[in-house]
Amino acid sequence: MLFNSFEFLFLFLPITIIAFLLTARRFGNEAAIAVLVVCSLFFYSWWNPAYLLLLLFSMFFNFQVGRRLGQGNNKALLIFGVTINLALIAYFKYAGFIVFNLNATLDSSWDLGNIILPLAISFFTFQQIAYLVDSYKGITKEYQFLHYALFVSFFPQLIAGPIVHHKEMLPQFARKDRFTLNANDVAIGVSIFAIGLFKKTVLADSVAVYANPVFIAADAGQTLDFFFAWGGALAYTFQLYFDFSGYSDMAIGLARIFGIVLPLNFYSPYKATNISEFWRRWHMTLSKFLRDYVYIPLGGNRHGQIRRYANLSATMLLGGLWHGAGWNFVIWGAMHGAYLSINQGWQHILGYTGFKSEQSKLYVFSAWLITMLCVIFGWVFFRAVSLDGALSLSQSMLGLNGFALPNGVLVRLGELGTTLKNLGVTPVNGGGGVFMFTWIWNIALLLAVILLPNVQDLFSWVEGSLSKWRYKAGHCFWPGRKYLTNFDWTQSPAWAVVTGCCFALGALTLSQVSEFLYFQF
Amino acid sequence: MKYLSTYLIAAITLICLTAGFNWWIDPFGMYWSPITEGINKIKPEAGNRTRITKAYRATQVKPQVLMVGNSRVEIGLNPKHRIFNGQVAYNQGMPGAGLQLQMDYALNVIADTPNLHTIIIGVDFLDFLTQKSSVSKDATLNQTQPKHWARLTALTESSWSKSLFRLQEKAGMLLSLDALEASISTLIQQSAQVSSIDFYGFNTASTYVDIIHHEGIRPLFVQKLNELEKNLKGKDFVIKSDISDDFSPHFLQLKKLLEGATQRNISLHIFISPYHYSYLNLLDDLGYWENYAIWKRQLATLAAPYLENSIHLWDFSGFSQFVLERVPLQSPNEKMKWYWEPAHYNEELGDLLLEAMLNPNADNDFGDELSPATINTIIAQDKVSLENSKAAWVQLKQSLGIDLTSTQLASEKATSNTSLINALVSP
Repeated sequence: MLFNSFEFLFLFLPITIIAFLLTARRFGNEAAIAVLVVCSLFFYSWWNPAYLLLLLFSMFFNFQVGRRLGQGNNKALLIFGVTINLALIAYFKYAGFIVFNLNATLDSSWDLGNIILPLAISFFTFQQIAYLVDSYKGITKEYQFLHYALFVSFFPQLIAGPIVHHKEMLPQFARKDRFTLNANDVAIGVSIFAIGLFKKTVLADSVAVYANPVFIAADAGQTLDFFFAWGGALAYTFQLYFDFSGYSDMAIGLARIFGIVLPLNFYSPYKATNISEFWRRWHMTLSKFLRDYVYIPLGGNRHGQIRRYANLSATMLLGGLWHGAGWNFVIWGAMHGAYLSINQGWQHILGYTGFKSEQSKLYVFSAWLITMLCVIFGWVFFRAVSLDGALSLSQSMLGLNGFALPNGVLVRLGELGTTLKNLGVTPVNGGGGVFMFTWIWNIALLLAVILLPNVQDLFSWVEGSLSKWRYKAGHCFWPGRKYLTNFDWTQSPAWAVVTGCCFALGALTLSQVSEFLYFQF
Repeated sequence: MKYLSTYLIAAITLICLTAGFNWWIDPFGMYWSPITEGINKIKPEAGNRTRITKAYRATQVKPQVLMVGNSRVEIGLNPKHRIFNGQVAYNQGMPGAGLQLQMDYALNVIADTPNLHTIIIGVDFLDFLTQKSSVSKDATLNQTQPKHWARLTALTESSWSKSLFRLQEKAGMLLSLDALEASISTLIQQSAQVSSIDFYGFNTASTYVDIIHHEGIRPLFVQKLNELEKNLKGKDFVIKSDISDDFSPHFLQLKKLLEGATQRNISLHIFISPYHYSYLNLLDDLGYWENYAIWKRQLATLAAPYLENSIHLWDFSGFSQFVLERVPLQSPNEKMKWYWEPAHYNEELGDLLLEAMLNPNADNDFGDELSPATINTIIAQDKVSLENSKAAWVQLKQSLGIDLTSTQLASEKATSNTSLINALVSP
């Protein structure tokens, strides 16, 4: 069940809220949590009931192992527990990929059949590995199973994050006062949810129309020119951000309706002026997990610069592979590993020079531009299905495959059009309207991501998330920041109307005619 | 809770306003709310949804005359032609629609509309081509129910899920964000030269006028010819098996209509479109001429048993003065007299087609009646005329600057971009 679906918005969610509240009022918090667990499991099984067993097994297994780990310093048990988790994810997520590559290398023909990837396995596996490790270290407290089950399965964050940490969630479930419908929480929740719904359904889904055909064409072996390639790459850059951050906002908003505050997952990553800052702002809960449970255990920065770069690269490779079983994710991870290492080296050199980089506007802008370019080229590999497609698209973006504009655009540019033609821009027939809309969307969304405050900025003063960040300055390119810093969400009629309209526009996308007509001929 | 109530009222108000606005503008030509000049008369978005709207509209209009086909029919045959003389004619032509869709929709109108007495259908060579491997003795029609059947109430059994599907589809034209975008786009394009679908399903094809005005006729020719080449070159398409006497299963679709019309005693006019000579020559260049002749012959054979029952088979594709119209590349912003581009004739030529078919006293000698008696002569004539037009074709290719033998064509770069022009010129 997707958040942006009729059945979720108008059946599942209202029923769950009512059941939760009535149970809390009548039978107390534990019963209310049980209701949430049952509803969450139903939410999960809506997709494929068979895999509910996997989720249940994972929950029971890890809870038991965690409890035993908490009782004594048993490293073998920890290794056993982590191995079982990794084995499950390896089988469901990576077995096909591994066998495919073994077949290619050894010229064999093993076939595992079609293994369906269980929804959310990457998320609940990571959350529970963290739990096992912390239990071994003695950081976890004695939790009740019901609370633990909700921590793993809580439907707002179950399928697409944020990745939650037991330390942040379980204390909220164990609160003493009675769960109830708090007007303040509901107002905050529905407002954040509406903004997220708008970002996902109106912005991301609209711009996706301009991204998909470009990547499909590149993967099909077509050579694209500079402008079409950039149009598609940028459209995907914004699609991914608004899709994923919108979904995270929806999760945060939904949880808040129940009085639960989730961790922040996105904080205007496209404002970052270096790649480390980008990762502090993009999929923050994954970055935090990778830092705490991979990078630091590998040695982090404690063994000199060279080891640090190696650790960064290894961490990012793993981070890449976490996103999916495919070489494109490995390459994307390797690219970011390299970016991070280069950035570390550069900061190291800057440190010696004593240059106050934040004071130079030109430096900040250039740093932002370079960071954005690196990220966008990364997304090309992330999105493309084939390596050839990604390489060809990258070449096009570097101008190696020529420059072309729709004839309809060129003729309307008049003199400039003629000059462009003389400079070697070739006219192509058709596509003028699509070309224009691609760039109108791209420019509008680019301005939105660098100029506007994010949801966290607006809701920080009412604890929109577990983060304290608010109009954060430093390591970011944010023209006009000083004019916006007092812009906060309040329970005013104006905000109610704005967010209500966001909800309405999002809801209006649910009934869109999805039939695209005769373009496949 | 005051915040929440304001939030909900705002959301509900916006949704209701959207529905009302979309009903008023009616961008897809589904509801036909009152027309106001400068507000909702031109419907440039309607062309993107004809497969939905024309399924419902054709039966609402209750036509006496129905026109069936793809984009050639949609932009070529005007249902308000004076020959219909006050009778209701509806143009159900839909861009890129294959035979199954055309036939199912037409049969639905036959079943639903007792007053229907005439059907005019434009058949297309490309629609009958099929993969060599799919021609077999046992070829039957696909029996699985395609999604579009849910729209055809007179043809299929009613069910709860089909009703829900229709409700969703119709509601989606009021209660959706893309309908709102289409309404806004409609509102701001009222004074632009853009194609629009009218009350009787006719497509004004005005976008062509705009393209010819701004870009000239050359890109239209280049794109259409390149597209045709791309669709056919190196493909394994045939009309008839080369090892047996089996034909493309698509003929069975046409047979359904022949039988449906005969049963209801409906006058059926099947016609082959007047393709521009450049289109026919390119078919020859690509090695499809023989298939084209086989196609005509098989149409004549298929229709023969029905020809006594007010069924007519017309061929307008012979090399007439219209088909041989010169392309005005010297004055590229000049509109052609009979054609938009190689694959699409305009309304003026469409008028002549209608007169030739429906008026026994028409004084133009346009078109031939195809039958087993005439087919051999027509095919032989076609071949001679094709050879006679070769010199003009070679010269046209040179003037257009296209090399139709190269594999990488400039226009291929743009194939991933869907646009109005692509939509218009698709087959």
